[in-house]
Amino acid sequence: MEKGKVRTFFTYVDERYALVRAHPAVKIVSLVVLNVIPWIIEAPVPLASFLTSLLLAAALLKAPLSKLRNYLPYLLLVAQAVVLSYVLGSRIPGNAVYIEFPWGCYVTDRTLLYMASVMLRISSMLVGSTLIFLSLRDTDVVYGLKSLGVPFAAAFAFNLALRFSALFLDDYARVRDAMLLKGAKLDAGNPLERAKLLSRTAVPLMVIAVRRMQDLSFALELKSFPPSGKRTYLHQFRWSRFDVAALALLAATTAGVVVAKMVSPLLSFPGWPFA
Amino acid sequence: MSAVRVKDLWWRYHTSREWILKGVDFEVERGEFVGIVGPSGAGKTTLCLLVAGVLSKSVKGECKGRVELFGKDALRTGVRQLSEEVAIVLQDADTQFVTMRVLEEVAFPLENLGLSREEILERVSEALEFVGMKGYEWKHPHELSGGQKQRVAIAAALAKRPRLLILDEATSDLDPLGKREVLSVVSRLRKEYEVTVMIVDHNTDDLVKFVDRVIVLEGGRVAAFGEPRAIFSRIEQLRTIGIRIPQPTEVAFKLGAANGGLPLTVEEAAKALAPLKERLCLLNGDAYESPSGCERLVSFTDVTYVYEDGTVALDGLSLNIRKGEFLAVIGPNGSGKTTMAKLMVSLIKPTSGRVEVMGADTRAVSPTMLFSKVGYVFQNPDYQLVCDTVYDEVAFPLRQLGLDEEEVRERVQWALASVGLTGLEETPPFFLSKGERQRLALAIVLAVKPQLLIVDEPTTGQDERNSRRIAELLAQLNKAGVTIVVITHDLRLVSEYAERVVVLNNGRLVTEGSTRKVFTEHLETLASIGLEPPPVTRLMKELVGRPALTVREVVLCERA
Repeated sequence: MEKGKVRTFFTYVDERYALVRAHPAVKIVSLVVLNVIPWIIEAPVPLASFLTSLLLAAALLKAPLSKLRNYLPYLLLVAQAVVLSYVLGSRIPGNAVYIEFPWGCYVTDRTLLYMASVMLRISSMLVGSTLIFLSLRDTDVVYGLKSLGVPFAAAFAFNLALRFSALFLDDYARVRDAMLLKGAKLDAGNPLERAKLLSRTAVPLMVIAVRRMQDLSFALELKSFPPSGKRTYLHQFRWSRFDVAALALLAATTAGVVVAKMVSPLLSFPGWPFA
Repeated sequence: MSAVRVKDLWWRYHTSREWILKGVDFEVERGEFVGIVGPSGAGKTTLCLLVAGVLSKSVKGECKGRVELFGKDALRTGVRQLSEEVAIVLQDADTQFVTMRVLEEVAFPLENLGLSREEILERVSEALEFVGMKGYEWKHPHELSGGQKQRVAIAAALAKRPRLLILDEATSDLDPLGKREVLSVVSRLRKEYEVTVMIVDHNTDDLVKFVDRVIVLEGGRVAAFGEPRAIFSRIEQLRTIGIRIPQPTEVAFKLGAANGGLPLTVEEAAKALAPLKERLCLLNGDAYESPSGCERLVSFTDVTYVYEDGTVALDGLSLNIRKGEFLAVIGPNGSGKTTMAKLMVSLIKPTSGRVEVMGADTRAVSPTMLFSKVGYVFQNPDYQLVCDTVYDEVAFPLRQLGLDEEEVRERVQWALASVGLTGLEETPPFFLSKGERQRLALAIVLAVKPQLLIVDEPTTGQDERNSRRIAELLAQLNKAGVTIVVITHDLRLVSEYAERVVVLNNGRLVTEGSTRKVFTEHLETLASIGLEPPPVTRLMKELVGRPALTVREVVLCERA
């Protein structure tokens, strides 16, 4: 491992990324807040401002922004689906109609704004969640959820799901490699054929996962899980000034957004008073 | 009072009419170290899980008989209560890692038991020290080798201070050094803490050095139970069952040197064979010449490969593989063997340097372009099985090649016959046993008729019969002109079948040459990286000054 790198759930990140050192509760609360705010905001301009602020804050905290590039293909896939569904299947009235289809759907100025809103909302959630997940370790999930009042068994189950999703990704990569070595053209050719070939990976993945789950249940039981009596905890996390400030900022932002949504039309669609 | 008492134990899964265990009876004394051997499907894992008290409560099935664990009825006492007495380490180290750092993994059961933070820290530190993993507290499972992961699993078990430790093929994925390390840790554990140990392992060469008694399971029954010397004297019976005989025992048996019982270790065999020393001679079997004139199939030129996390898997490797060779790649866990194989099939591209396969630079070709020439059989066959029937599985790559159905049928039948799976064409692949799935994975690759066949750990976790079957098949293919590259920790397989050996360590080429040369002239180099040639090699070196590669060589020489 390179010096100065910390292993989190899915990757290695620079230990200078401030969120890595944050209290687990801060990470869990951030994850919730960054996924709730885009649902409260409706209008495209405030959503774009929120996304920009998020990226700026991430840069200030020395987040590994370059890792976001790995998620671009997924974002593009989602964007493609959003564009297609809005263009071909929506009937949103607006000030100007740009295209009309024989099946009764049409594209107006409002359609484009709605489309932009949805894409910005998804982008904000994806970017926000990724930035938090890049800093997340298993102890964070367990201790974070526990400090928010979630029972240990439930917090640990959530943590296990994440732990095993990392193993599942490893398994998927191996099955995919095996398919390539059997001549399956997974990277070229007809998308339908490729999807059909990829669907075959479900068979070994399912079998391997079931076997793993069985072994895991034996291993957990023999590790005295779930605990029957009072459970103790190895780690003790202390609240730093950064943690308190981060929580205060998250609370203030959430409250601000809720209040703004209630008292002003700025955050509601389409987001400007002249609409 | 005994530690474990099993009385007339029967078990079958609710999905099966067949009993897996059929009236098993045995008793293990406190502080005893007991080995369990038997062919695949003999019921070893089922027995371990029943003794640990988990199977009957977690899986639907029918159970008859009695299991007592330190006087408690293990079949009826809660797992939570039993878990304080017994710990189990399974084969798949990854599955057992329920947290993401060594420290937390070892502490996890202690936290569940509600121990104080101070006591947890003390026990974790002690357990890690004991297994030689102190200093690794903050490591992630990805950063540990297979051997290290298993040692962490043992530390987690040990920290609970159990009275019974069960290792179910926990060492089968480990390199020889890792295996020896784990066995000596367990042996020390038993001596210092009086822990009772039960261990399942196919590798009897190592097992006999540590265990007090051996249970031989066959078809769900105890075929034999006793001291290793008594058990391994029943050579013919064990061979019929399909159990690997320790090489020193085999040599002594063949030479008729069984005065006062057959020897189990190299040291014992050296003593037992000393009177025959003058008559011992070895057949010089080194007819192998490096085929320097033959066509070069693969070449590595100053190849370095660095993984995303910065791990240098290969570091300046230069090597040629020639047509028709049977090459073994050996080295400790994490030495770069599998990376080397992945580079040969273009699954990964070198970070620097050049890999050429049949004249093509692998940077310029995809795995799908190479698959008809280079076959790769994974260590775990399950990753390769994606179809509904055995027939479709073998036909899959052939259909990708665009062959007509008549030729597909012919090749499928030929490949299945080659691996002994004829008649199972319509069976779903996951209904096959592990040994059969391994052979099916081989058939999938064979059907394509590649010029180069790379096989990753073909005998890991396989019983003696399956291991030999696979090795014989590889030898036959090699005779038919297929170049074989086998990645393995099984040095008995290497010495019996491979013509040439490449030794890797830390991504670098340590040495290479004919198997005899490497196992004869480079013993110190091998020892420095924890590799030990098979017992017969060391035994003959000690007795006649020259190593033998196989038991057959010794016997032939004696008769000659």
